[in-house]
Amino acid sequence: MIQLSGVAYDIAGRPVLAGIDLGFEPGRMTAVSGSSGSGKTTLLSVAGGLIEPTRGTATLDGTPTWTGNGDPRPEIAFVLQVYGLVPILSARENVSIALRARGTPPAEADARAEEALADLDVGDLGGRQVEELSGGQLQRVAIARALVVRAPALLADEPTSELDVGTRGRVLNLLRAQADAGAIVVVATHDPEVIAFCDDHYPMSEGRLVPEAVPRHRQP
Amino acid sequence: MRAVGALRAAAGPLLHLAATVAVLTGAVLVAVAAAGPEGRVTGAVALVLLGLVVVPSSALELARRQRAEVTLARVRGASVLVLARVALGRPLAAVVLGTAAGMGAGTAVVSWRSDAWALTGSGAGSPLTWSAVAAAVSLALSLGTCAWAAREPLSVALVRPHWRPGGRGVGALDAVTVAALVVAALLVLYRSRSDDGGVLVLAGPALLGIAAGQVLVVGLRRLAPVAVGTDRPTAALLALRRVFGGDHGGRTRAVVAAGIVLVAAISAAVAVHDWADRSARIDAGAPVRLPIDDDALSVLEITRELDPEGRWLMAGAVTASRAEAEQRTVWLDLERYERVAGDFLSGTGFGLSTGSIDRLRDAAGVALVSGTEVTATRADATKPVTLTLTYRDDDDVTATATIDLAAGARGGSAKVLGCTTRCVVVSLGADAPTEVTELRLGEHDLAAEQWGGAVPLDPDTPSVPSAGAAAEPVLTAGRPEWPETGPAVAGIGGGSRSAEVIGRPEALPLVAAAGSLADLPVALAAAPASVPDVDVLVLAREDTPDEILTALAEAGAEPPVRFAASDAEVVLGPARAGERRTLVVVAVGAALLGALALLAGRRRRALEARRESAALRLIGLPPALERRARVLELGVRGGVVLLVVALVGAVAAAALGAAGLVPTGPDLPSFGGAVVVPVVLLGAAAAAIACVLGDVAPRLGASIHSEPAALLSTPENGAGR
Repeated sequence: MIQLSGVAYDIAGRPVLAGIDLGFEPGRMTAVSGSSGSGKTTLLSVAGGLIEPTRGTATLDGTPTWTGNGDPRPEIAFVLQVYGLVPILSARENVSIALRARGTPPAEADARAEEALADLDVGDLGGRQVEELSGGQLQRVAIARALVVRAPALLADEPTSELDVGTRGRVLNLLRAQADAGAIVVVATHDPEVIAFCDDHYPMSEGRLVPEAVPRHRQP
Repeated sequence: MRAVGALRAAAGPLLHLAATVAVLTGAVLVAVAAAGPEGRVTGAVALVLLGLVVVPSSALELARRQRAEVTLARVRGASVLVLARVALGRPLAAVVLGTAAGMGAGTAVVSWRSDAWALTGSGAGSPLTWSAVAAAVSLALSLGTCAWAAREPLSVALVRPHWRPGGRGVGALDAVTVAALVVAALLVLYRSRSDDGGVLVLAGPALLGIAAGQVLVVGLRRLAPVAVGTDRPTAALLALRRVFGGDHGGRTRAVVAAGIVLVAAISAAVAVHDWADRSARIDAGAPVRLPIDDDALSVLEITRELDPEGRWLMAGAVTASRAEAEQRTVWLDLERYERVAGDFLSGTGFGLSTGSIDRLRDAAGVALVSGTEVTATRADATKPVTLTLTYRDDDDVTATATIDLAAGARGGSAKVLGCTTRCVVVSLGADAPTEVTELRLGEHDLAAEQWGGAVPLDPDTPSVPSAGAAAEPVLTAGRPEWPETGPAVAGIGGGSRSAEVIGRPEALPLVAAAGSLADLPVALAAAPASVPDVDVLVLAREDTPDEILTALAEAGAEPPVRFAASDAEVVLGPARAGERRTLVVVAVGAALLGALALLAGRRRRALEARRESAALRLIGLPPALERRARVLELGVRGGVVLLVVALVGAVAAAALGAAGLVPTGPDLPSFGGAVVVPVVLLGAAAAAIACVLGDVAPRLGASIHSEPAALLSTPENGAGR
């Protein structure tokens, strides 16, 4: 479980996050929603250990997610809003290298990368340099990279923003499958359909959880 | 104010382009001026050719920096004039700024060095005109590059954060460009050899460098699918992707071209200087020379009297007024060579080992005798005969003593004049066949000592003492045309003497690349006084004491002539000196342009490299593996650049050597190739190291961090949360 306790994050004295207390549970898909600038990306970044909270703690199964240097723990996978792909690598290599980083042999990593890309209908683009791909294709490669490692926690920032309706459904189903396999899946979004698809929902506004909003919890 | 703001927005790339143009125009100006009154324009041509690859590389970075602004203007439907102002205003300003700076700095350099270079005008034309040509080329390239970049499809410009030149149509264009460049380079190289220089001399290496850079870039791109196969270890995968991909093509092309021009120019300059220095040393023979108007034997005795231990002085003589190798001989008192000459001539193509000296002295030397009467005894006394003893007297004048032997008389004697201190027996003649069994002069039995026993004599053929009749051991340089009877060199007393060639060095002191060297005492054996055609001199060490030099002066020696570095300049002459200056200026210009090419887009590359590292850290790639990949990448990249620059640079350097950069002739040392090898290797290593540093420096110098959190913002706006 990812637990955020009294988390606050300031930039130059200005609060970006304040008073965040919540938990993301394994086996459940959680949506964090809010308008642009509400703090969704920062919340995911603190939860995933990319940035250190100014106050409070973020833990995964009781261990702080902040490792001291900004590198995420291997149990956490990300889909970033700007994808975070490696430009010099092909689509397949971008997915494969995430597996290699976790010790998978190159040949097996390449094969699993092909499968992951095929699951997202971009299998035929595996040999392309990522610079040659469109925004939607880049997003699918980034999702494939996050899914393929089967991490205990997957934090996805606007993972469907560039996708058509059909592909969005496929992505959500794949995320659901990860959750069903016991992973913590958190999605930052402002897409009502994505929110509706999730088990839990935390709306945000100006860096805080909306107080009057009652988190909606789907029955497990 | 808007204009100032616009300039400031792209200050980095703008200043980089301005600096590139400044170096190009300034170097061209100095290169043309440095060539001197008899100079050629070849340096300017080479630099302008180099500009063809360096300037666009810099202009491209400016185009990248103003891409967003140009895209915004296009979205707003700006008119052609407004678009032109937005896209071309900065490159125009950069070229104007760079040209002014380059011309100003170049003029200042020329003004500063005009006295030292003895500039009285330029044979290559007006330096300012050529600088203006370089500026015009820079302007066309800069505007063309930025205009081309502005033609990016708007749909692409709006979506993609980065602009990458190239596309699917580039493949065929690459092939055509490579082929055209290679053919042009080979043609120019060929023409430069038959043209004896001219405009093309340095254009060949420049074109060859551009072609090599282009071949390398295209080759890397083509090889990428093969090199980056599946199943590669992760570090190798990353390294090879960075080597074979990325956007370093323009920089690599420019650095390889600049490196090859640098290597070719600097090696040619070094070779020209080396040739002049070797020639001057060979001409001098020793650190100090003292011509003396005296006979060679007398000078030999003077040096041995003033310097009995042979520490400072060495007598010598030379006849080198004719060009034919067989007519040019230098004689040195080789017993003293190692102590007097030391390593003065090392590296000149001439060297004497102790073994060589022993072999050259492996013949009887001059024998000095004295006496007032000569007595001869013959084997039979049936017929009358007149014997004639020819000798050099005490005053080095050839004299004779005649002994008349009547029929029945076995012996007789004659007075010997002028032989009271030391004289040299030259020959013994007779007017009828006879055999002299004993020939005494003072304390000496000449027949036994100098002929080895009885002396058979025929009319009209005087017998020479065996020391003078034996073949003279010599070292020979050049291609002498020996007589049919075998090798024979000029005799110190006129005529010629049979010789035994024991070695063939490339050059010899005082006669350079055509002539022979023999031991002076051996040459003086049985020789008459030295003829006027022979110049006699004393060679001395640099640190010869003044009192010895004073004593030499009192003995008739002219004032000492000391070897100086400026002697090489005299050998070189004003035209070649100008050419060497041009080569140095071109080398410096190429180095600066190469360095600037490496620095192009430094900040952008730093940002991209940090984001790339951040992306790899985000997925948990171990830092050690990333470091291994970087080391491997830099090793491969540096190695490839080293290999290409060394190989092609050596070809270019050899082509320059064959293009008549130094005078050649039968009596001149040849162009030294050996000195070029380390220069080529050092230059190639410098280019490779610069290439690696140019790639590493932006990553080290970037102020941003590579933590994965850096990926939370977009590259352009830095926002997003």
